[in-house]
Amino acid sequence: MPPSNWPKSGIPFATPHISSLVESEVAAEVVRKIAEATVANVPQENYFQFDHGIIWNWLLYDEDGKAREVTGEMQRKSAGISIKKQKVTQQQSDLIQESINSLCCDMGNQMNSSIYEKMKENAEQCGLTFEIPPSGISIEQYFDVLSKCHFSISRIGELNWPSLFNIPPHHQEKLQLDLENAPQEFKTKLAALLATKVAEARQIEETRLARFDSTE
Amino acid sequence: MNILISVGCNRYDNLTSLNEAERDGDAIFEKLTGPGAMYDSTRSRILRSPRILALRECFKQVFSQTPQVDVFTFFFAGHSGVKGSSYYLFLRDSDSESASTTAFPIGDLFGIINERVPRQVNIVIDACQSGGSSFDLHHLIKPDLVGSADSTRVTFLAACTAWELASETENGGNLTTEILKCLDGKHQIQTKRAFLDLVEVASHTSRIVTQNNPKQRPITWALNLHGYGAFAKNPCFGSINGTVELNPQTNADNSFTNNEFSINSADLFAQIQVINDGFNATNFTQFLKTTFPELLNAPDETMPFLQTVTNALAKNADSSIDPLISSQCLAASATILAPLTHHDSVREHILTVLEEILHNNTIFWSKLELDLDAGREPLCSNYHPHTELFHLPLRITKILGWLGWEIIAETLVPSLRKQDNQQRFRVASKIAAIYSAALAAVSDEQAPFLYLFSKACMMNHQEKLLCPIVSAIYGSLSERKGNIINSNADAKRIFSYLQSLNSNIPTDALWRPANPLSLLTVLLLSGNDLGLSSSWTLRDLDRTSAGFYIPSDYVHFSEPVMQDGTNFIRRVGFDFWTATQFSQLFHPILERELNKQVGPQNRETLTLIALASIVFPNRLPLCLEGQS
Repeated sequence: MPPSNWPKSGIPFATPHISSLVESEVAAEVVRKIAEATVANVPQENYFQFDHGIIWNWLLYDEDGKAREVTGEMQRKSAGISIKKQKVTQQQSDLIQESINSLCCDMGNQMNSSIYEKMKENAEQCGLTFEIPPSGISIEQYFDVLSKCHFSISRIGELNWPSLFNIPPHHQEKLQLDLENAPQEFKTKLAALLATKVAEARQIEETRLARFDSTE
Repeated sequence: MNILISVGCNRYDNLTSLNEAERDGDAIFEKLTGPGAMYDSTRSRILRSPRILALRECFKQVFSQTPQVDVFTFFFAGHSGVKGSSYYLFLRDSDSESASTTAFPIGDLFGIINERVPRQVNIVIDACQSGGSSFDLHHLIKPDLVGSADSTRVTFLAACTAWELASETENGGNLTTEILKCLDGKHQIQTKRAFLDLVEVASHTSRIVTQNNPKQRPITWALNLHGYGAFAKNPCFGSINGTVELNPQTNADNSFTNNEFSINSADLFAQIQVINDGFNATNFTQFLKTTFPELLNAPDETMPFLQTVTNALAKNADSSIDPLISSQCLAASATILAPLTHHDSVREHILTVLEEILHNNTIFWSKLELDLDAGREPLCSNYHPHTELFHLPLRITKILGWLGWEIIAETLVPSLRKQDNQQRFRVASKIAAIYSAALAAVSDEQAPFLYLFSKACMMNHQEKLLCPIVSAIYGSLSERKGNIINSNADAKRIFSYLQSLNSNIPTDALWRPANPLSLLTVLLLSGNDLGLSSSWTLRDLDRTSAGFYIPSDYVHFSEPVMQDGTNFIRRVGFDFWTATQFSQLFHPILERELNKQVGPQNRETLTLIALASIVFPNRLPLCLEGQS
């Protein structure tokens, strides 16, 4: 397929078959890069591959541990680019890499925005939303966030610390500085909270794992 | 390797020149060595008006370069004659007055055959007095060259008798012209076999040549005929041309009325090649659906053609090393008919196909049992030791699955002629004993096969046989912490998987095992049915997911990808901790989803659904739950 912004014309010595295969390779490279980036950032147990259908069904638990079935639907992502013909006639050799990067970036942004939307939806459902002023997150707000968050244990038994992401770097730096300079009383309170949270997480994990040995 | 030497001699130093002999040689060479033809184009030779030494040198080169020739064909167009009760081919520098020193005695060619012993030899001589070749038969009739099963099969087609002249027209030699029509498909010899035998070509062309030229009577002689020979690919093989006409009373869309279809031998040869390289159900069913686009709309009219093509493919895909290839072709073609089991003619056809599969397989099981008894390790390839780490466990599970399907099919469809269930269980038992260490989890593709075998065992109270098999595969899955590969893996992924099993090699950060695991679903259900749940701990499979897909309608179960339906995922250590708990989660979902479906499946459809899970092993025929 020619780029949509280019006119169609008859071309002598055209090689439509092999040319389309080369273009397919460019598309395949985009898919490979996206897949690699996705695989690298998703824990093994959360990386699903389905052969059929677009709907999947899993169990979601409320605070009382009661399960309910939920269904999700796969989304199709696509990306497009416009290429100036001049770049080709001037034989700019970085054109392919530029196209791949642009397509990857576009698709990556789409996927990220879907993920953020889903996270936002879940956060609102769980009441885990916090209003951060333009000046950045305060240490009290940080404490509040941590006190409402669930800590979890990874598949290799390590603690998954809650982390702040998608927050401007200068806000993160400021928070870090504020935490270091916080009054001792706050530091003690925070340490106690973290200790409680870690203990809770480890206890939950132990209880969960103990169920493997239970005969119920 | 198949070799052709084609000689056309127009120019003679001492004899009258001919006009078309070189062209005949060229045409035969082009036809038999062209793209897709059966002779090797790089080793085969064409000689135009050669001298005698050039012909001898050609024989020397061809047979020294190719020590083991399978089919050797020699074509000659030019002058020839009988001198002193011996038959000679005249080359450019031959002199009829001193044939013994200047011409090529046909006995020398027979001498080469005696020495090199190709499996099969075809000789076609379009030259005068060529029937005289039979005077030299004594070169071939020797006790060590005739009469045994592995004797060279020799077929000789001569353009005329020993006392006649072979004529040519501006189109070429009379005989060659007719042979070329057979090779072009203008004369249809037969359509059922992939190759034309020179005997049948001779029978056909001789009649026509004599009809057109009463003074030229081609003759044929042959030695050591057994079975069918191969002279050329059959251009009319499987050729069918049909017209599907619908009853005008039906309300069907007129756009497919009088839908014509045709398939040629090139399509069939290409498909056979693909099948022999490794059966791919998606590719195969796509080929059938493309060839017969109106199958679902006009089954009665299309069915005979589908049957012909499928049988042709199944029977001719026998150069594959897979002895169950024919059954796989038949199975794939049957499963696409699942939506049509309400048609009487289709149901009848399906039953015939199922019986043929059962019959074919039974023959193989008998051989397999003998090989197992003889300790021949019949399931392990000698040629690809590394990949057998993956393929042997998969192959074993597939065989168990086929055995299981057969038992289920005969139970579901009582009208199928019964084969020997005891033999099936005996074979399964011997495989499990001999290959106990290879009863391992390697791929999610094992899921439907193990499911079918498990169902068959439970139906026939063979828990004692099933239990160690399920336990071994579960143990292996548990030991590998759920690390198995997903269905339809390519070579690169299989290699990555095998590397991932070795704890001494750093794990590839991008390696991801199959997730969710259908195999885990099957193992948990079987384990629970067998009462193994209490002795299994799922701790090593913590955080893996048991998965199962339930289509919205099982009528589309033989589609390579099913669009409508739901993938159910239940996580070990979060949703369940024991096989019993999984079973308690699974059954209400299945019951609910099956109740949503349009209607119950008839028994033929259920059998095809089970078969589809063998043909496309990325789905579980869970609608069999509850069948006893």
